[in-house]
Amino acid sequence: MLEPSLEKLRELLGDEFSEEEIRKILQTHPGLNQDLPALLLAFKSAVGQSEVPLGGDFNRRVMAKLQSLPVPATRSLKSIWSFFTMPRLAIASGLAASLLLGLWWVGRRGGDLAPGLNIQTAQGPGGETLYRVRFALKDEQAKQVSLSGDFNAWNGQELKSGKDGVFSAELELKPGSYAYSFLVDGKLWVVDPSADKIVEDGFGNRNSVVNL
Amino acid sequence: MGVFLKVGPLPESPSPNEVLILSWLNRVRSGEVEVFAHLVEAYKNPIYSQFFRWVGKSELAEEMTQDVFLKAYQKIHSFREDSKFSTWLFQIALNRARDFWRQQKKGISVPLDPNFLTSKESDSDVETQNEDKREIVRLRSALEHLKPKYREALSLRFLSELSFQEIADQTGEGLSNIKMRVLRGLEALRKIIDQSSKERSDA
Repeated sequence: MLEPSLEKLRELLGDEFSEEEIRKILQTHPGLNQDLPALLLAFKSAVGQSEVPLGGDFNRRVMAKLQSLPVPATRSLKSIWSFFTMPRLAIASGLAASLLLGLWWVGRRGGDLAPGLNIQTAQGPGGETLYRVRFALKDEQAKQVSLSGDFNAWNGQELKSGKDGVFSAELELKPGSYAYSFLVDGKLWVVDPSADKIVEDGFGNRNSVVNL
Repeated sequence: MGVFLKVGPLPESPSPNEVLILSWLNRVRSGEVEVFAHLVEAYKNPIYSQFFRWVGKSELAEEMTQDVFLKAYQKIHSFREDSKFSTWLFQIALNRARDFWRQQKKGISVPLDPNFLTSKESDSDVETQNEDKREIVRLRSALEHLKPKYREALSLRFLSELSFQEIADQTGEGLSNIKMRVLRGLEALRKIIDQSSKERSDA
């Protein structure tokens, strides 16, 4: 049973928040509880704002504009091929491809800046297969992020803070399937959007999983 | 019922079934451009209502609705028949709104409807209405100062009145990520409104 202030907050935010989450919100955003009713009331008024109906000639105007457009291109192989074989476009697409390739290369070289899982194979001292896995979460608002999972017995280890709010750590792991989660500012558990899958832990929490 | 048709007022006529929609789509694809008018008729009101909620300006909402149909027509061959047409249209509409939110954050603003705050009548209902309008103006101008990702999350949650799960499905973001964005958005919005009330009382 929630205390009245928590119950009120839950009523305002909706029942998609668990009791645990509501408690955390109250700790991390103490001012929100007080101002939320007024804020949500303003949103309600905005939703209730009556709109001027669409102009009667809307369809006619859309259709007139549409008929002046070129017939939409189909995505058949033939048309894709002719797109690349048109001389001027071929040069442009060649340039675009090299630009993309360049970006990909820079992305790989600057890999420690990008969020998301990055997995590379490595070898252990006895020649066994290992994976060098980089875990990274982007959160520009976070001050500190830690990583807990099957690989560290859920004892959180602090991630290194990099540029643009990317927090990361690199671990060497044996082949297997590992559940893990990020903890932001010691308060909010966050799943990894780049995980192989997301699973329920049976206690109402969701964990990320990486399969190696 | 798809995500899109759940939000905003339903079209005046009953929504056409998916089979009919697909037959119209196929006819447009095979060159019967004029059949596209049926799709416009079926979806213009819910899309316009969405934009009106998001931007609060009727002319702008109308222009954005038009853009959605033109874009949908140009991309009609990329619509995959295993998805719902209404969901696909909503995605195009959301992308259009994202462009607008990004522009507005950079300071390219559009003035509110000129008649929005003026009223010649003076009974108490009108007073209340005007107070509501002031609240709406305050809210909308505070929203303009938010980072676009927070503005999007708050708009989908509290203006489109989607559930957190529906927002996650529509944007492809994780549920906890969306919850976090909504909370941070609310917190930021609260601070902006607080700050502007302080500035007003200092002035």
